[in-house]
Amino acid sequence: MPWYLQLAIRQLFPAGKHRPSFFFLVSALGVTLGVMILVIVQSVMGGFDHEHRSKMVLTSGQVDVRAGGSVLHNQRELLTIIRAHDEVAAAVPYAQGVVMLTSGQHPAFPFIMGIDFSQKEQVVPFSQMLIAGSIEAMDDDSVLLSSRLAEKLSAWTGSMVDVYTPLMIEKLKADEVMLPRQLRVCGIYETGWTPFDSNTVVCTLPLMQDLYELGDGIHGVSVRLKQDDDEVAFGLVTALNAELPGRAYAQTWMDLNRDFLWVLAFEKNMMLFLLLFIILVAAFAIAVAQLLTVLRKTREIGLLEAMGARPRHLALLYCFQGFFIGLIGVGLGSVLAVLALHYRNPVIDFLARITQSRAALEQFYQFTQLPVYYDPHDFWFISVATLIISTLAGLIPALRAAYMKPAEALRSE
Amino acid sequence: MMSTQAEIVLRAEGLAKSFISGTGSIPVLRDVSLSVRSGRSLSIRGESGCGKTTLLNLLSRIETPDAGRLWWQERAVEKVRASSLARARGRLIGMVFQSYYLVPELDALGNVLLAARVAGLKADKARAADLLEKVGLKERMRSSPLTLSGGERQRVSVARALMNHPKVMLADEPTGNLDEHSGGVVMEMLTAICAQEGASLVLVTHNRAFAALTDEQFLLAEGVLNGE
Repeated sequence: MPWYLQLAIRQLFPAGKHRPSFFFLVSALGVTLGVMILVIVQSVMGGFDHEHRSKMVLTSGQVDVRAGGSVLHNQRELLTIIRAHDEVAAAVPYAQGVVMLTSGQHPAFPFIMGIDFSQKEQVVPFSQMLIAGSIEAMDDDSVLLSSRLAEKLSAWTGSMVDVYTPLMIEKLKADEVMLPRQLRVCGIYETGWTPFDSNTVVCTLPLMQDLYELGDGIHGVSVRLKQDDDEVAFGLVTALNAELPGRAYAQTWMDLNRDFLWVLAFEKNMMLFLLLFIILVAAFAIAVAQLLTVLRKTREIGLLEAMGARPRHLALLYCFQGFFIGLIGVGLGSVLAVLALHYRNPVIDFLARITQSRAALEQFYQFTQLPVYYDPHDFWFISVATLIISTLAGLIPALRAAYMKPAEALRSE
Repeated sequence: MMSTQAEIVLRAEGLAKSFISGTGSIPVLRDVSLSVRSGRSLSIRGESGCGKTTLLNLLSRIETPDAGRLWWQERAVEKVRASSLARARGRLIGMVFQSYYLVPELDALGNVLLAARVAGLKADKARAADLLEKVGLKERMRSSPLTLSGGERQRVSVARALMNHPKVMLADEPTGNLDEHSGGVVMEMLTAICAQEGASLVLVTHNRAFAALTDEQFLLAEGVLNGE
C-alpha cells in the first residue's frame, strides 16, 4: 500500500485508544445523512414510478395496435398477424368511446371500453380485480363499473343504469325518439390505477359495437406479452409495424403514456438534482475538516516534504481522506436508508394513527403503504456522485498541503 | 585534488539568505561556504537566532538561498529538476530535528519505515528493526510516539534519519529538548551510529561538549561561519 494511502487511513482511523477526530465524524455524518435522504427519496419516487408503470401495463397490456381512432374491420387478419409472434401471450380486440350514464338522478360521462371476453386469454385480468359481482354473469346487456364510478352513481351489482351514446344524441338532433339502453351492473372492479378506477365502464365487444354501430369493427387490439420486458415490447412493435396492413400500427404502453412517464421521470430527476445539494453542503464540511487537519498537521507535512515526499503524494494523502469520508457516507447512508425503508410502513401507520390521517391518505394519495423500488442505477449514480464530490472537497486542502514550502511548514507554530 | 573532491559529499559556496520583516530585509547568512567530507563530522555553534537552522535548511535545500551554490555529491543542486529534488534529498540526506516530528498515527517502526517509503525505496523492516535496536528501542518498536519519552522519540528520529543509508546527517539541535543525561545518550548514539553507517554528520548545537565530539567545529556569528 502506498505510504500516503496508509497515512490517510491512519489519520482518519487512529489505532489504539485514539478516536477519530470530531471534524471527521461531523463531515462523515453529513455525507451519511445526505446519502440516506437521497436513497430514501429516490427509492420512494421509484416505488411510485414502478407502481404507476405496473398499473398502466395491467390496465392496457404492453402493446396496443390501433389505427389512430379509425375503425378497423380486419379483426381476424390483425389477430393472426399479432398471434404469430411467439412473445405474445394474449391479444384481445376492443372498441372504446365515451357515453352518458345515469343511475337514478346521478349522471356521469365515463370512458367505455368493449372487450372481447370470448377470448380464452385476456389482457386485462378483470376477474382478479372485481370487488363485487362476477365475470361469469357478464352478457351483452350488462356492464362492469369502476369502483369510484359506482360510488358516484350510487350503483352496485344488480343496479340498472341507462346508457346514452353520442349516436343517440345525433338521432335526437334529427327529431328521432331517443331511448337509452338499459344495462345491468354485474360487477364492480378496482385496479389500483386511479385514472382507470375513477371513471370507466367495461362491457362486451358486441355491446360496444352495437352502441357505437360499428358492425364488426374494432378500434384496436390490446396485447399482453409472455415476458414483461420493455425491450421485448419495443422489438414486437418494430416487427408488427413492418407487417400490419392498412393504417393499423403498433405502439408500446410507454408510447401511449409518454407524457405521463416524462412527468414522472422529470419529477424524479428534479428531486435528485435538488437533493444533491445536501451532498454539496456535506462537501463543505469535508473541506473545512480537511483544511483544519492540514493546518494541524503543517509541521508533519513539512517533515514529509523534507524526507522526500512529492507534492502530488501529499495532495493524494488529503484527497484520499475526502474519498474515504465519502465512502463511509455512501456505505452508512445506504444501510440506514434501507433500514428506514424497511420499517417505512410501521412508521406511516404510527404517524397516521397519531395524526388521525389514515382516511385522508387513502382518499387523496390512494395509498396506505408506501411503495419502494430499488433501482441499481439510482444507487450507482448517488454513490459515484457522492464519491466525486467528497474527493473534490478534499482537493482544496490537499492542494494547500502540496504547495507548502517545507522550511516554512517546519517553522510554523 | 581529484581525490579530495571525491570525498566531499556536500559542498556549499557563498550561501546567503535574508528574511523580510516589517522593518525591511534582515540578512541571516552572508557568504557561507562549507564542505562536508565523507564519514567526517562537523558541528556548528552559535547564538539563538544566528541562522544555524536556516543554514541546515539551505544545505538540505528545503529552503532556497538568495545567493550561493550547493553541490550534493558533486552534483550542482540548482541543476536538479524540482520534481527530482525531494526524492534525491530523501535518499542522500538524513535529518534530525529538535522537535523530533514523529508521525503520531504510526508506531516507532512505522515512523522509521516511513523514511524509506516516502523516498520511494524498499521498506526494509529488518533494517528498520536493526536501527531501532541500535538506538536501544528494540522493545518499543510497536509503541506509539505519544507513549515515548523525549529521549526515546529523538532516538526514533535518529533511526528514521539513518533508514535510507544517507551520505550526510543534518542534526538540528537534536538534544535541545532533552535533559543533560538523555541528550548525552542521544549524542553518543548519533555519533557512534553515523560512524558505523559511514554517514557524515553536520551537527547544530549550543552545547560546547557535544560540539567537541565532532571532527571539525565551526561558529556561526553575524551570518558568517568561522572555524574554531
